[in-house]
Amino acid sequence: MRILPTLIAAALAAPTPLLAATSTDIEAKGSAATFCNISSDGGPISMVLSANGDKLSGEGSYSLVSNGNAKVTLSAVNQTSPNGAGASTPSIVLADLVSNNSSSAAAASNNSGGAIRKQGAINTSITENNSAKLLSAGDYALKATATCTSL
Amino acid sequence: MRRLLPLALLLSGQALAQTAFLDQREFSARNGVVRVKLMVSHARQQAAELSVRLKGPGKDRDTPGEILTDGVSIVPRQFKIPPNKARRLMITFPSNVSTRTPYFACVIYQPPVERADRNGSAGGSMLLATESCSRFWVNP
Repeated sequence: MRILPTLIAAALAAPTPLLAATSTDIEAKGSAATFCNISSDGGPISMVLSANGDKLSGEGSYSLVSNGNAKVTLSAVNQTSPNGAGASTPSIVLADLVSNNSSSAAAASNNSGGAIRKQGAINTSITENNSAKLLSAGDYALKATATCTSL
Repeated sequence: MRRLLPLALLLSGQALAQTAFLDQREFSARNGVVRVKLMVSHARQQAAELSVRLKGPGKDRDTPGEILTDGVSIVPRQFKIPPNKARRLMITFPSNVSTRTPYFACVIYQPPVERADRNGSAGGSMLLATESCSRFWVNP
């Protein structure tokens, strides 16, 4: 009977076969959804009249973020002018990206590839296009939509 | 997709824009109807009113075309959402395409209009709405 405690202690102290044989494989997988977005810095961009009265202009900024192939389009420019105003031409430029001065057709950037984080200026203007070379007094407004498409 | 959204939000970082996330890009109609699940979020400082719309193919396969409304159900179509929160949506629409066709799930933010008193002088403003679209394909 004296030998029993010794046998129990030896069994407990021995390496456990189960633990000795265990190995653990760690595998982590993931997939990031492709996305693209574009934003401007807040609300309306104010445009002020040039010294010689021929042009309204203003400046803002945009931010573009994309993690895959993408394309940016700028819709046709919607312009409202004072009643009876002389002819004028709108222009919206997203610097180094896309611009449009058409009231009937959209404009598109080239397709981009890979991850992009880009910021740039928005330059907007309304320029006279009449014999008096002047913008008529009153309120003008431009509206457009910038669309970033994740491809 | 919920697990991936925080990563995408992190990647979109300081951009204020709204984003439409699609984890699947290939769809087929079942009983003539296509069902598209997407998630929408934005990173502005305050809650923003967003609108979702479906566009068909444009002048080429990379360009969104006209907004589609006939038979199109978008739930919810318009909603207000706090920053950095994700909203699940479902778009369903009829389709009987005979070739693989691109569609675009889009979310748009229209900034509020502000008018200034110009005291009769010439002045102006430009309002730029911003839209995020994700292309997906519908197979015959």
